[in-house]
Amino acid sequence: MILIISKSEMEDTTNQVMDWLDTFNGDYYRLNGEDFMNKADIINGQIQFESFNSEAITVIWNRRWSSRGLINFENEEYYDALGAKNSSTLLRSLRQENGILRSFLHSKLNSKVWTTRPEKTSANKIKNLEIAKSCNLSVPEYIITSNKYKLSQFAKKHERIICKPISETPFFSSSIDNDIVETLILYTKSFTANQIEEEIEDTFFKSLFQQQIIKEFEIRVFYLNDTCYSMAIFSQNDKQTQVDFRNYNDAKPNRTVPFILPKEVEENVKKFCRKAEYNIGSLDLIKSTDGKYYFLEINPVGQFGMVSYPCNYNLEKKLAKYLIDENKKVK
Amino acid sequence: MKTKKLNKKGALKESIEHLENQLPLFFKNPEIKEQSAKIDVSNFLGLDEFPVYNSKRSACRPCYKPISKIHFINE
Repeated sequence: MILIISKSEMEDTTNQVMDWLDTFNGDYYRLNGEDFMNKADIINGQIQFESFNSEAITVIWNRRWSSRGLINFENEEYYDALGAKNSSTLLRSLRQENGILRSFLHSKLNSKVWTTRPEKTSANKIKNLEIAKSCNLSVPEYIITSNKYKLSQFAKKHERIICKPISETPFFSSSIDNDIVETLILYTKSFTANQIEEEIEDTFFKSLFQQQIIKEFEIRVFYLNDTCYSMAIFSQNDKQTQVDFRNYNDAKPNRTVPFILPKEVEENVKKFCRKAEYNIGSLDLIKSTDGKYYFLEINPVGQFGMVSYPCNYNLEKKLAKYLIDENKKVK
Repeated sequence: MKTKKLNKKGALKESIEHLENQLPLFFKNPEIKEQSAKIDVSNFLGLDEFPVYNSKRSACRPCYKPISKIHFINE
């Protein structure tokens, strides 16, 4: 049986893959993180939840877990009353409680085939850059530092550099009216060598900087079972999306078209995914104005709706087929 | 019923700016986007929730229809 680990809200990609699994008479079970946390019991080492049976599972599509945060915002006033220090302790404690239960579920499923193994769902960008280099992919030069002098030398060498999170981009929002929300835009930041000299303190919180690659266009590659499905994103001519296409221009979206990677680059991408142990993933690449293809990073759980629709790749169907084939193989 | 906690306009950006020196540099000079939290559905059909996978086997909850399945009334 195929197990889909997902979340219960705002997750239409899972529904679409399930449509295809139904079409192909696939044998599957969907487990949402929220339901596991709220309703499953663990009795003497056995997980008891509806008809969930870990023994029957062969292959796991590790898609999502939960969209609900640990704070119930109806109780926000109590967190305010607790203060930042105690709230942070409380959240850490809740996260640990949840984390151990989730990791127990993973341990029960350890021997199964996973699209993304649990320890791989959060990408280590630095490790991946090094793996990419060893697979002959070009990567932007980078420095992780808290020292202005070293950063300044790095910036002078490359003229323009970017700063981005080492882990995932955090999301902040705040309601200022019943119907209006303010959100903080924290995508990739670009700095010139002069800005580093003038605006940055001598020491700062350790951050990741990369040389800024002047791009001809960006490429999003969805990798599935040793096949690459690529899309070119023409983000370079719009100031809003020039540094990071995720700073979407809703009024005038970037043009996106199907793209075939040069054979050698595609082989190196596949080599990278095999070496880093990803069966599935969305990779960000840049085609630079000097003709090189640069690897930036991989999202191991793979956002693929944005590639599937514009390029007509029908990836939801391909993923369903892959899961069914894997299920048959293991059976 | 409890009312939603509202913050002062600009307080989010201001707070992050105050903490800036203790944060990684991608937090520097953050931009703020103001968005409506309310979705105007008056021109659309099909934004209702629908329990597609509410079978006994699936633990799925209702989910909004994908954008490709939304049809304008005038069409």
